[in-house]
Amino acid sequence: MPQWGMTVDLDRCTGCEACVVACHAENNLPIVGPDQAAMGRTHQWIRVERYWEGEFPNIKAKFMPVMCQQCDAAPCEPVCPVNATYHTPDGLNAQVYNRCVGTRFCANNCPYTVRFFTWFTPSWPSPLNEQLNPDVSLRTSGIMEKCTFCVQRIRRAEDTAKDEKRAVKDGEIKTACQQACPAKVFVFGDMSDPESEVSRLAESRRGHRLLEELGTRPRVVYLKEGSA
Amino acid sequence: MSDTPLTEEKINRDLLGPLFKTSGTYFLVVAFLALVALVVFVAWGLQLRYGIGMAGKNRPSFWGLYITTFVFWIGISHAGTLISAILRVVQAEWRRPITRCAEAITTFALCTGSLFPIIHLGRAWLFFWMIPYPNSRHLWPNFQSPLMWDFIAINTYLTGSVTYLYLPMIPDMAVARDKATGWRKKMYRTLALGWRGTERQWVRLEKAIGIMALIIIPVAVSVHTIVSWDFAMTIMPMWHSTIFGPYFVVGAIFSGIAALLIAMVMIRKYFHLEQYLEPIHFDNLAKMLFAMSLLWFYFTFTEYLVTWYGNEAAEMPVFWSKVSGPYAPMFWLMVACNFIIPFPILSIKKLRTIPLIFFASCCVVVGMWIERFLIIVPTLIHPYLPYNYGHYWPSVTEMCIAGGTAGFFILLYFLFAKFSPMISIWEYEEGLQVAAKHAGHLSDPRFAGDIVRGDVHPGH
Amino acid sequence: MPNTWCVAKFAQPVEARSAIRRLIQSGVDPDWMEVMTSQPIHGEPFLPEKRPSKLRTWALCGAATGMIGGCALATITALNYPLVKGGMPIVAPWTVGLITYETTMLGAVLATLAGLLVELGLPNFKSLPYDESVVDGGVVVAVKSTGENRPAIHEMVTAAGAVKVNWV
Repeated sequence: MPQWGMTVDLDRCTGCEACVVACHAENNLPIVGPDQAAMGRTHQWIRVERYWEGEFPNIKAKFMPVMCQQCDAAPCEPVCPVNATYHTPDGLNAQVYNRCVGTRFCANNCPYTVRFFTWFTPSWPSPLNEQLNPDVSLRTSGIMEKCTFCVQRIRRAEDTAKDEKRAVKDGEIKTACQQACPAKVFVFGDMSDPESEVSRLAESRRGHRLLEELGTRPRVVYLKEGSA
Repeated sequence: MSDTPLTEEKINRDLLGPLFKTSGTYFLVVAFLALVALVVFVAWGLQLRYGIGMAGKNRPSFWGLYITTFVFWIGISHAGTLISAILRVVQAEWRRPITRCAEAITTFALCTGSLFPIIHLGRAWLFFWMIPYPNSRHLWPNFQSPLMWDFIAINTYLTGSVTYLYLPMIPDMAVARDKATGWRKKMYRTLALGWRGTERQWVRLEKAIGIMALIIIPVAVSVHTIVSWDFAMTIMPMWHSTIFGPYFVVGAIFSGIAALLIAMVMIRKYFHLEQYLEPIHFDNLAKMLFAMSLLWFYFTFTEYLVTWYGNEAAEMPVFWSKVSGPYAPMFWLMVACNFIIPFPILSIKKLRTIPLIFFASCCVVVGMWIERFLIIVPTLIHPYLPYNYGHYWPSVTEMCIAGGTAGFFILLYFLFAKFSPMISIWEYEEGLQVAAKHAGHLSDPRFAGDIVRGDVHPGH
Repeated sequence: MPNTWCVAKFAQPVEARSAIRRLIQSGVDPDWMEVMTSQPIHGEPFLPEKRPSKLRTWALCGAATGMIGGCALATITALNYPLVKGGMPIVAPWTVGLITYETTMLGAVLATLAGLLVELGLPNFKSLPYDESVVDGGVVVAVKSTGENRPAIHEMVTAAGAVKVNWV
């Protein structure tokens, strides 16, 4: 059983946010409009957090792409009263859209604030409705959503591999953010396979996890800036 | 009027009076409250139609006014249990005129509070998925979730309080049945279940009420503990605190007694029950309110001192936002309402007058609502990753629904007051009997168990 | 048979007690008597209690049922569709314990209510011997007569000081 994981190389990230745009397109994320955005209701399954370090003129900008960490000990999973979120055997934190009743408890318990709620049913004015991804369901109002590690791509690759009677090759599955990133920040793959690129990168001395001290056991490994 | 001797006939007349006579003012007040309640349901209807986005919540403040008001009402519901059950168990005689008003507050506060877990849902029409029922998809609710514990606990408490309210009401329904005419007689006949007051019936009723009192106390403690665990079971800064269980229970009893005092002052005034709800009752409850105010201050101080001393990176932004930041005015108003203002009023005997107790209780109720708000929102808008700090402002729909439930609650209470005597007639009469025995009036064993008549006043 | 119940109202419990004493001495079965008041009267019971109340047993049985039911509900529903949530065990003992506690209390409450209604025989809307004026005070003693002892009963309750005697 593969155990999906991802590494994010903070040394390479330029803060261009191509990953954000790609994620929007791939996963049919709603565009909420300026008023709702001002209220704090945008959907950004992956976001690039920007922090300033130091005082002018010795000032540095630090970029950190943050998406759902697919935690092994996810605090969001046990608190859903209707079992709309759980951990799949291949290590993904699943969000079941049609089971969600919208208590929003999971979002409150996520320390990474990576969960997003659909406050109003989204609409895409023509011709934007023609660019929606048919592999990803549309979510109506009242439903929680978040990054899924592009589970539709994972399942498609697994189906193809099964049809061709072979295992999924390392690097065959590329998440949307990985595909769009010009700086090769993201590497996605099977962390249970010691030969995969993601495993090698995760083992490196630069690897650390976000808010590791909380004990959430996230599956996203961030590679620190600087050399190993 | 207050000097007329208390015969059973007079007690019946005084306490059943509101059931059979209604003034025009009452209809006006009820109409206004019904309008307020209607606003709640209209606003909720709009919210269901257009989406939960009509409420002002956002990311990261996914909870706001609805959960605040939910916890507030469940807190208020702890009035009845404390007064009725604990005082009954310790056999404090002064509880007798208070039990009915208190138990009614519990039941209706629970009814009002229970609306909110449905109102705040994104897809409220699917709320029944939280009920464990067999279905073709083999799906069950998740009992590991504190919200499911809420569901089970609040339903248990609601069942328990309705039972605990109804059982002592049966003999009073019988009195109403015997005094009523027309359609009222039919209604009370059904509700009295054929009660006749035989000795067998009294023994069993009192036994059942005694058992219920013993059951309902641990249930009430567990209910608000479980509600507090909606927050404490998370890992959010300043929520993940082990003190929340007892803190919330104390806060609930605190706000419950304050609400009870407000209800009692109004019942005493508008139903002219000065002979029954005497200053001693308000005095005793005010002392309990004072004790609760001290306890509340103790818990709050502990919570904030420990946070400040620990100086954890994630918690300090939440702490400072409340103590000196944007929420500081609300925070200090809360401290004033819950502690600074009630302290002199409730501790100094000269100031413990009924009007000042009423004022202090109103302050406490407001202060406790603010406390719930300050527990919820500052934590949510200061999550672990500072990039995600946010802000929260309730929307008009949200304010209408949350605020309007106060009207809904008061409406239910008003309707109940027209339907049942607000002071338990038989318990009050039993109290007079006990008092007379203690007064030595019945030292003659031939008069053992005599009912007091005539000129004995119920001065305890 | 009509007119078998004598419903006598007394102003004070002491008078009612003396009437009951006389009736029992004259051979009337205490099971054929009922005493009605508007509040529970403290002191010695008017009539001997033949069958003690079993409400505590009801409550305990209800609690046991609730306990088993709640434990089963939480455990079986978790095992029925096992989902890993947050790295916690499928059946978490703490949460099963919590649910069990609440359902135990719920069972006790419902059983107490049911037990009370069963033991009181309520709801019962048949016209049983009753005097509506008892709610204004006093003690009502209802005696079932065999027919032959009718005049004797009437004489005894009147002698004890009954303020009102009806035959229903």
